[in-house]
Amino acid sequence: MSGAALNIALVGNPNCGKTALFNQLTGARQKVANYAGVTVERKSGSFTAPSGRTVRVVDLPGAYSLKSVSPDERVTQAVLQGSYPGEAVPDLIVCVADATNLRLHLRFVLEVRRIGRPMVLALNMMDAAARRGIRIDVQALSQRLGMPVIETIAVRRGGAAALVGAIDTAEPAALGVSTVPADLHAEVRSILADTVVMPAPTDRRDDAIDRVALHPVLGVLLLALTMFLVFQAVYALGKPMTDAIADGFGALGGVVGEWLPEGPLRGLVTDGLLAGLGTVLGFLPQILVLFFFILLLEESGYLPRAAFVLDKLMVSVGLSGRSFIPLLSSFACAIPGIMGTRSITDPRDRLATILVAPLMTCSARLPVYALLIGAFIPHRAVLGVFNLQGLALFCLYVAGIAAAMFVAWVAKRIGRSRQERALLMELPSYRLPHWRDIALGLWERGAIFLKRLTGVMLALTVLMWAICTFPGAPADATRAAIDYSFAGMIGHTLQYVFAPLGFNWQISLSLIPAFAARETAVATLATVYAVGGEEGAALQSALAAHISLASALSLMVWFAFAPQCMSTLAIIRRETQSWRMVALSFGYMFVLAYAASFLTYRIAGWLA
Amino acid sequence: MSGAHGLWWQYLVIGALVAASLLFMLRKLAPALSWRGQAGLAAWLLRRRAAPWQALGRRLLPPAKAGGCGGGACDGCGDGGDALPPLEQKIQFHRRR
Repeated sequence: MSGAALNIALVGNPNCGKTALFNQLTGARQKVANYAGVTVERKSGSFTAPSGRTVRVVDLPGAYSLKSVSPDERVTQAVLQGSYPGEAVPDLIVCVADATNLRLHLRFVLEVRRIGRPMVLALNMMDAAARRGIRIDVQALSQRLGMPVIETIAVRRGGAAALVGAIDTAEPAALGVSTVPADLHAEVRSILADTVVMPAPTDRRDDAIDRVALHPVLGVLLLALTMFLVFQAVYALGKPMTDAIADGFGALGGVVGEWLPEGPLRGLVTDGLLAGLGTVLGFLPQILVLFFFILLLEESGYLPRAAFVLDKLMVSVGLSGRSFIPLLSSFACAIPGIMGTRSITDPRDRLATILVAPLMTCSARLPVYALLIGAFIPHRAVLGVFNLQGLALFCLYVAGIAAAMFVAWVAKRIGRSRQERALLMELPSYRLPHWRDIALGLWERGAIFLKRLTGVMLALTVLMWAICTFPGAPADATRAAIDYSFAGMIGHTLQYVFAPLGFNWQISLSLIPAFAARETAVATLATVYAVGGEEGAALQSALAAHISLASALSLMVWFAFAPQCMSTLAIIRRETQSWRMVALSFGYMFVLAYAASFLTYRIAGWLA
Repeated sequence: MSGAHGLWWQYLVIGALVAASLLFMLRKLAPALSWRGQAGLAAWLLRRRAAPWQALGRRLLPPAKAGGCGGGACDGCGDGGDALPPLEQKIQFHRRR
């Protein structure tokens, strides 16, 4: 080893705590969750060891074997074998293993050992192992494996201190390839017999909960109830905070309006920035409440069970249970969801998942839904307990899921695929959420939202205000000034396309910036109505006064199915390496959204 | 007229904000095009004889690599745009026999 930076790679089976360990070592905040397949690409960071040596750490996607079958596993294989472009061969491999499931994880340790690189085994989740009464003779295990074995608890502060010390002081030497036997399973059984005492193969509490959570009927009901309660909570907990922020921005607009001199700059600040961005910012609490519950479910270990329960349904429509986690990630944003499909081994399944992932309701659509629901759905109780607005939101999310299933089913029929693949998925132990991880997750989501608000949305709001304001009305104007602006011209032209869906020109205009970032539709509507003279009126009141219930429902349906933002299309291009798939994704979603909105508008108008 | 004269600085501020917003969105939505434009402008400045123009051209030279998802308009995944492209090859979509 030289004085240069030490390159280490974290490898192991999925969900053994590699990324949690990576965060401990480097101080990074990469996403962690209690299910397999969270990390699908390599991440790197560095730290300075107590001796002053710089250690560069690469966190690799989890793999069950080095005979890789999925794209994410290929990354791990390539880095370990030194064939990943731009990535040096690691000086030291830190193989992470779940101490509660060594029967599975040791097989991979032995396989990695065959490479012959210097290795350290990090026995992670030692706290969980101790709780279950699992006793591991670390010294004996180290002797049998021929490498240092270090106990770690990646989710506890200081839980990786021993590993840091081992990395810092060790002068790792290459392992002898010949020492690894051919039959890995037999070798694992032999090692376990000599070094591990395990009272029971699974946790009794897990088994008891799984009797309900994995039940074919009760499991589905539990999942539906869980999701229903989450959306109820979004309204019950988030709405008061949303209203308070909207009131605050309204008051701020009044103060700033009086303070700024007369002129266009006052219009930009009050009608553009405060009205537009303030309205979008008001929906942050509801987004955070939704993510709080999603993070809670991720941490608990329930989500893989949900994937298991839904596997039969997913297979019947041409997807697989493996698609569940990427689709679930798409509720935050379609981009990580589409990237998450790298853990799907079958190219056909992967492609189908990529194509339907944008139909999952991403968090960017939540402000649009919340705005329209708040304006048009009365705030009243259903069955004495449930909130009608929360119920409407739940229905919109279900509509997105149902559309995804329908599209996958159609793709299966067109592709004439009859093959069904069994789902093999590791079910992690249930655990109480780590509040620090949840707080960090919420912080990250809040930061991402604010970054979008002060970046893309701010820029788009300035541009939308400018086209709403210029050119001004002529001296002999007979209509409102905004009708003569660029926005008015563009909006009235677009209305020819969208009038059959019940959209007025203001809504038609808002669909353009929404293609860059969904939430900007809200900011644009706020700006258009503010510039158009709806002084002092909240956006929800302005919408209620200008569009019908049928148009509002049609708009909600449009946002449920319409082609996603440009970034999603870009990531589809990157992951499929095909412009044809981008065109297919855009085309089918546009047709689906147009047809569904048209029907919604006509049926709602007829019923009204 | 005096009112209109007094507004010139407001139009100046608004013009600057609109130009900055346009450039920002161009960088977000069409990163390759904007990098190409920046590289073209830098090359043109570097061909000038005056040292200040050349210095400005050097400052404008784009970095060698802009990969990842381009850091798109989304900002949703915190991708700084410096990730290497995935190793996997193009997905082949064959009809099953």
